[in-house]
Amino acid sequence: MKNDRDNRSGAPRERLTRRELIERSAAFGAFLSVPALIAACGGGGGGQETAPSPPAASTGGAPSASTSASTTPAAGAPKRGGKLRVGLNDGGATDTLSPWNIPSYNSDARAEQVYERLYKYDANGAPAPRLAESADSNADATVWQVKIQSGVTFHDGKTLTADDVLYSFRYVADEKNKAESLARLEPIDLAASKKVSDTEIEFHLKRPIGDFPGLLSEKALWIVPDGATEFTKQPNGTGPFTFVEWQPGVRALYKRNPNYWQSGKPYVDEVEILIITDPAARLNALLGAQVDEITFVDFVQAKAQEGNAAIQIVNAAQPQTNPFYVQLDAPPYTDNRIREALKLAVDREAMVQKVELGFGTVGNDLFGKGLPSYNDALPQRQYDPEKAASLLKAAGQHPFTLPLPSSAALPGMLESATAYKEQAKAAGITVQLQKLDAGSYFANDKYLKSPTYQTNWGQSFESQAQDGLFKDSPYNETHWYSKTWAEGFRKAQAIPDADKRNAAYKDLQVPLYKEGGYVVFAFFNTLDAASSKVMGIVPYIASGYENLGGFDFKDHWFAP
Amino acid sequence: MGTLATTRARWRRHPLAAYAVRRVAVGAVLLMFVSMLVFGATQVLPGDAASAILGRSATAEQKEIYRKELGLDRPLPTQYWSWISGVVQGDLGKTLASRDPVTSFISVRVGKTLVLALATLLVLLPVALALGVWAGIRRDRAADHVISGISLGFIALPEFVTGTLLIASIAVSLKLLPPTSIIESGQSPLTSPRILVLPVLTLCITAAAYIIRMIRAGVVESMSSDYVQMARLNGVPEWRVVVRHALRNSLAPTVQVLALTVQYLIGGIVIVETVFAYPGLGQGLVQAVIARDIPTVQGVAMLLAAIYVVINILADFVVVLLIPKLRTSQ
Repeated sequence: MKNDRDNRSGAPRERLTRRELIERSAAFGAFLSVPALIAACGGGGGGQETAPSPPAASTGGAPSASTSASTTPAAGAPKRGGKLRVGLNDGGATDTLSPWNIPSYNSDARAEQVYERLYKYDANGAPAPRLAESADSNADATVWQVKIQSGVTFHDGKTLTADDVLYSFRYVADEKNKAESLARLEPIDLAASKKVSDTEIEFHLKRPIGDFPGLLSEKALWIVPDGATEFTKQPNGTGPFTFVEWQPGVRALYKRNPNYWQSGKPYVDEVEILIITDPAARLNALLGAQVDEITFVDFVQAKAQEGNAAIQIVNAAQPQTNPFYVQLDAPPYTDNRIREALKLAVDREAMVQKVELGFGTVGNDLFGKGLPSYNDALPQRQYDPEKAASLLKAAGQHPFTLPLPSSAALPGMLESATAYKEQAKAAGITVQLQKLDAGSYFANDKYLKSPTYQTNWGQSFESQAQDGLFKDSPYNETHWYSKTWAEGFRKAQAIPDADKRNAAYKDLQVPLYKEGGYVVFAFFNTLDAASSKVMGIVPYIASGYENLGGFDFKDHWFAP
Repeated sequence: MGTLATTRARWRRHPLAAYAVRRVAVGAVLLMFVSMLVFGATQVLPGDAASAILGRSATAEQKEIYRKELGLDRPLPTQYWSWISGVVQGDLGKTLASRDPVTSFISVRVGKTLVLALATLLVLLPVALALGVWAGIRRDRAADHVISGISLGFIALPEFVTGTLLIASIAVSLKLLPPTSIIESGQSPLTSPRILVLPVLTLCITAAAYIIRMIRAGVVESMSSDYVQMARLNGVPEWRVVVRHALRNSLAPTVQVLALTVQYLIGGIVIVETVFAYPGLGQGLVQAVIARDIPTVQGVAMLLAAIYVVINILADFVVVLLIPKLRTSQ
């Protein structure tokens, strides 16, 4: 019924709804074998199931009391008080108060208020210390000393100690607790890891991980009090807000934690999360001042509100993309001249302007643009149909026919494939567009089997690589595999110094740029909206449940 | 033979009771079929509850354990039997994630939906009846054309279009009313009735068109009947003709219209609650479908189906009461 409604009510709404539909389906595992959906739902998270290695950054040396990559340069000093009402895009009977599984945006938004992790990705996609003060490794990155903040208390008054940290990690690692992040802790040898003092823990790893703070920033690695086993009645964490009451699928109310360890924060007295799944209703609630912030507006909604001074669009340049791919071992795509021609036959600027209405940026056939590990030194590929035609002629494949399955599964997906069909004509390429069902787009019998397909990713280079560029990667769409490349990647992964590690990652992107099977023509931004009265919302560039400034409502405040 | 004959005889003496028993029995069989349909439909929903609850990165083993815990690994007939035997005892099972009874999920929301439905009926019925009768007795005159024309237009507009138009004009542009019906903690539809106005208006506009046309047709038919002609020829005043003769005989169809309205509301409320983000049963059903919370979907769907069937039976019964000759006809 909902679908009918959206279909009839026009394209803009349909786009977002379908995206949400898919995101949810992904979250529910309808299409578990899909990187695309994982990416759609939050690449940061899902992609790192097997070996966490998120967007790299400083190895967490610098202890900084506040996480405040996310504090704002807004005019004037933050003001205290008020009730912040936030409209969330998903939720329902399946929601629980337990923070150990985060299958939806609202479950993350709720958990972030009550619980905290040792590290959390900041607005720039780098792990920033939260409950941790610092993390330092031995020379080969197999032992990490983590120091935690002192004087932090849980909502029930108990003081945070190293015991709580070890207990929480062991709780996640215990299979019977069914915690989502179990697999993420796989590199940690928890039996050998130990408490050094009340504020220091020594983590022993099974293999070198250079970006341990990145691992500690992973979703659902919350720190709870030692011995806690009941999480569904009265949530008890160290977070900026304390739980008051909730009704699944309707709302959740939180009160300011007066003992929060970041001085002065949070600024607002209360946070209320309201579930508004319909995209139009959500925006209307914001326009009607029934809520102060909402997650997800689509390109058209955002464009329409651009001139509205009462609304701010939170435009987060997260690296979401709907690339085309070809399989490197499927003739005729074995010939790199053809792959190059396909990359030159797409008008990237037109994709950003016409399909994404300007809410995005051009791609250069690599993933994770904007994140610290992205190689932005490579020359930008341009639309060059003549050169594409001559490459095809040289390969003896002119004119060329490209079968391309696509669907309306994600924002701008089908639109970009349709645009490509027109753009590629000039190069003598006939794109045979095959429109597939959106709901099962990544769960049908074509995905990963068809030699060409349109897909979706939203992760950093290193995260996507582990999911899609190894022989045993679950979503090796392009059949990219090189033993030396894989060894190079493992070596890079073990470098504790962030700059050196990222330099190694950038080198690894050069062969992908030259010969890879992906046509990454554009990235699209994640768009949220808020009342202009709300200050302190900083867009997060890492994707993965990082809406509205990583749901860090503690940093938001109302302008007088 | 003898007993059968006496039973038959007794039933003949209480044809109304016989009729009621027959209708209820048919209703029960119908609900049984519906339960199979609902169960079957929820089985073919793509997606998997275990992954829905555990999150994307849960391992296959974790999911397998969970499916076992939920009993989702059992054969379908076994699952159906354990579900339906609970349902007939009033136990709709537990929601998948929070393991709360589905009945408590329903009871939190059903009140809000009832408030919306009753408010709609209170506004809708008097207005629609009056307009329908008026159009009927003013057949082919200006009033009839205006009422019929407008209602024809509204019939073509589904709730989500009407709702969206109302929100855009009255709430967003004119800022007269709140654009959505979200309820903050500490509020209820009764303490802030403003949030009810637009959803009620949307439902009324959509349903009124249909009722007006039905009533008008009934009145037109009565007004052109022989007994009305006869009454007029006998010099009975026109208002008396309308009230005593035409309306009285339009009563039975009106009851059916009322039943149809309630049945329409069951479906319409699901849509309207979603458009306005009103936290009632319909919105809960949509959320449960999206979340693959099968026990909740099944429970709510069965409840709505049961209401539908009961309304039907009641309406039939009332019609039989009103038109005695139907009591004996098979």
